[in-house]
Amino acid sequence: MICPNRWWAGLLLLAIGCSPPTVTSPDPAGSSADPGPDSVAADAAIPGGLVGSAWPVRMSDDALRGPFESHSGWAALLMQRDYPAALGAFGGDAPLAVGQARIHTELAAAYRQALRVGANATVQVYGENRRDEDPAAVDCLLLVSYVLLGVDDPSADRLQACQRSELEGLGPHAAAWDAWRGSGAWPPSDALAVTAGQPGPPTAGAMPDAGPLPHWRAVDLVEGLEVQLASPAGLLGLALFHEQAARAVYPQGEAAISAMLAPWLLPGEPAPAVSDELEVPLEFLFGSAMLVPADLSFMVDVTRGSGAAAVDTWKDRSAFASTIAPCVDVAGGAVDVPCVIENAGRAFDQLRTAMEIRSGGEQGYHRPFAELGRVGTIRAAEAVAEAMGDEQAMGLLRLNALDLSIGTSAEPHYLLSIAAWDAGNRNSSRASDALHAQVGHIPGVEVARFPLDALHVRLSRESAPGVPMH
Amino acid sequence: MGRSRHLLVAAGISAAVLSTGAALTYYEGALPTTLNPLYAAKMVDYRAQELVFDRLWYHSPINNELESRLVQSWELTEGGKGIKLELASGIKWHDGKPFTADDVCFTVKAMLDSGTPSPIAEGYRDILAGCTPESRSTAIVHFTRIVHNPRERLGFSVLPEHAFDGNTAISPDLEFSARPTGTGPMKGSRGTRGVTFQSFANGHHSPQVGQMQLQESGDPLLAIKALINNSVQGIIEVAPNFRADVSASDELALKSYDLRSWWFVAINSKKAPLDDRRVRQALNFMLDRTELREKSIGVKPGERNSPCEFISGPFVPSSPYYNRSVPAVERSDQGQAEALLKEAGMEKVGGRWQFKGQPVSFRMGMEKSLDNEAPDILSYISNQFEAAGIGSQVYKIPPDNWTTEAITGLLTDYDLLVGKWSFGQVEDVNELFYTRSRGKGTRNIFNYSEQEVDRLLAQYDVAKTDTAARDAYHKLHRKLAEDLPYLFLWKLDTKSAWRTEVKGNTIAPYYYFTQFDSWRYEG
Repeated sequence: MICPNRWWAGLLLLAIGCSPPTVTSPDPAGSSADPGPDSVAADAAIPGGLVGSAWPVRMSDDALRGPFESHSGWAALLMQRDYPAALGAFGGDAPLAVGQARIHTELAAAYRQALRVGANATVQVYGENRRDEDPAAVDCLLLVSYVLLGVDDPSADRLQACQRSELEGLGPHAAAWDAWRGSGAWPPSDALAVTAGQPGPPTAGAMPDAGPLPHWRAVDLVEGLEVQLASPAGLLGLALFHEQAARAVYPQGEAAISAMLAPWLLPGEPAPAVSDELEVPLEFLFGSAMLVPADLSFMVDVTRGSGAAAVDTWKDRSAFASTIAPCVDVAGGAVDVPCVIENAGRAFDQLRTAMEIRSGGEQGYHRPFAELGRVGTIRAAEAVAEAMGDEQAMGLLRLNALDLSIGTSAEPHYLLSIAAWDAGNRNSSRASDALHAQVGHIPGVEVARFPLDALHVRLSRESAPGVPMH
Repeated sequence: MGRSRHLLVAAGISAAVLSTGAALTYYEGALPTTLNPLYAAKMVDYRAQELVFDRLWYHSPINNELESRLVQSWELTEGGKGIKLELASGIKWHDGKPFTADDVCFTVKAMLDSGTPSPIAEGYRDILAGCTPESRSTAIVHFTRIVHNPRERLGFSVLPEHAFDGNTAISPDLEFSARPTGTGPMKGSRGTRGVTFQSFANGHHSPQVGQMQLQESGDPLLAIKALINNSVQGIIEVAPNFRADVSASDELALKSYDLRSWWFVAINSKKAPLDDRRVRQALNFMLDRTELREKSIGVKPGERNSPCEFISGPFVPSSPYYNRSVPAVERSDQGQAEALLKEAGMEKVGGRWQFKGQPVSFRMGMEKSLDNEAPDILSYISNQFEAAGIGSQVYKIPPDNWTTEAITGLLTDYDLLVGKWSFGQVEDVNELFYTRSRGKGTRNIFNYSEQEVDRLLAQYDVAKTDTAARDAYHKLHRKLAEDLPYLFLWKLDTKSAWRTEVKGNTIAPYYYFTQFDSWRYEG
């Protein structure tokens, strides 16, 4: 009988015993053998060769998986996304630098999404729903948020309005971001120099917090009560800290790090080149929602390159592209959601079948591993729908992916990206729940709580009356 | 793992014989009390009503856009104190009569009629001033003041004027509560064993599920077995203990249901010795919430990403109204409990606490359906008090009695009541803690009354700014954590389970079936 968590439970026990890490030479990407003809069913979603290259199938090889199973860093990362514990477990272990780089990369993505949560919430509460009580300081935060989101500010004299705020450092902060707008310079060092809560120089294995919060204390203009404010820009420093730490600790993974980050970049960031032959260490894929190296390239192409046209370009190389290709009508600008869900389910079945063949029988870890592939596929289709402007399909796919993002499939950066979407859609309840769930793992995301809390209170006070229900 | 094996084996044996055919059946913890939207008291009421009625405006569960199926266009009038609605054409009530502006205005007038004893209507009386039908398809809704985002305020379900013969004083116990007439995607009829929903094609709805049954679930294990066996196709609230079983099945899917729910033990502070705050505080220290949560919900101590998080006040921890500087009591502290009870004049004799020479024993109740989410919670709480030297008798209260007696403050013969409150976007807790008088405190379970609490609730009511509102609730949270009309337990995430043959089943936050037209059953 199959218990889906057995492998993880076993992994945890091994981690407590903490045998020495032995992963020293990552298996070259895409080099594994085909698991066998039976893995390619007639209704296959993923071409047979690609199935064998997918990390869940490769990791069904006990010899390859063993060193990962015995390492507490991987257990902390994959079982609970416990980043501090995972970083600690990998610390000082040069052969495992790649593991540390992976964590720093995920954190770099997560902080960017938390920034979007904060910026979207700021725009919604102080831009779309500005009230007489809001102090002039919110103009400064609005300006910064519009800049970070790459959105045109509807007010041409925002900076002037902001300068009416007398809060120390807030005017220069906004002015610096205003000056950076459209400059194309990256990173925005001058603006970050006047942004609160910036961490020190990047250090592998470190996990700085956001510094003292709130960044400013203003008073409202009606009752003179304290209003706590935080600039979402504060999160960019943390994102860059982790990105630089990842690159520093694992310089040979430069291209893989860039590709992993690509879907999560902010509007002003330079996009990495789309690589035909991306080399990705297995440690970067293991336990992630990417199946094969070409999935990363495909996602770079979709999100930062040619958009939906990437499906056709990559459908023979990327498991994601091949699975969703029949569901994408590029000319018609639409994604067929039921088709994607169906095909993602087929991919899930294919992966499990191939894993069984490779393992010589069903194992408890097969389902959670394959589930990551299913979630990743739906997320990829979501990105395609977004690139096509098919917002309805994008939303539906996002909700489907969210339902599946539980347990080992719950990647914090993805959940925070949904929180950012929700904040932009004024769905403050779900955004608050998602952000709150991450505060324990990624303390710096607390910065985004200030505008999100403000948005939630405002919306709840302006909603249809509600009474408690039992 | 053992349970999972048994469940799946059971499913394999009986799936073939228990298939139910094309009608979709789902389990709720309890049957709805009423299908009249003015009298919803339980979440199951709201969910069922969402199938039968249309709210004037609602939020899309996909992108949260404010949308209306009933209103084609709108414009502000009277300098913002009114909103003119041009209604969509071709909409019929379930009895075939046309939907008109008179119905919208009738609903507004019914809510404003003091002869309609509805807590939901009461909430609207502060902002709605009236409604004028300008033509069959045009209505003007008047507000008491200029309000921001007026459409957001108009989230009520519209009722048919003809079903009430134009009488705007609507009683909760009319036939309409069991067999309502709505404009929603399904026509609903409540019986003693469930609710039957029949699809009703309309100008603004095209449901793809022909027939649906709401049934009351019993034992949560049996409910999961029924789902695996395809005897039912959905369970609205799956106990955390069984979520792994659902996840492990290829035929079932867990679905997120965004609902802000928190659990409590209400204390009858009118009865000795519970009228002494020190005794209530002692009970707070006696409870080992970590153990309760582990036994009842299956959360291991220190487990991350738990669906269940302890609380110290009447909000979920992710809410801005939650005062995060007030710590939750996670483990018991019998030393503190004993000191407080002694201070309150109680004595421990032979391991049992006595008050005025009599052994202390509490009459404890719980709404029966909560057992589905947190199995045996009442017994575990009782056992903990017993171990600390306080006796108890426990009773499970049928859901209808909970609605008609517990919420209305009539179960005063109880000492403790275990319950759960759920919220949507609005987290207004005033009705729970206001002194029950003159239309306030309508959900004050033990008629708790405390001057400072009333003052803070009033502060929230009259707050001119968001900050003032939040400050009032932060202070309220701290005050309630000290005074303890409730022992606050935890917030618990809600998850549904549906068979994979049910497709397109997007679940709306709070209201659940808002997007029901997209649901399909391919069973």
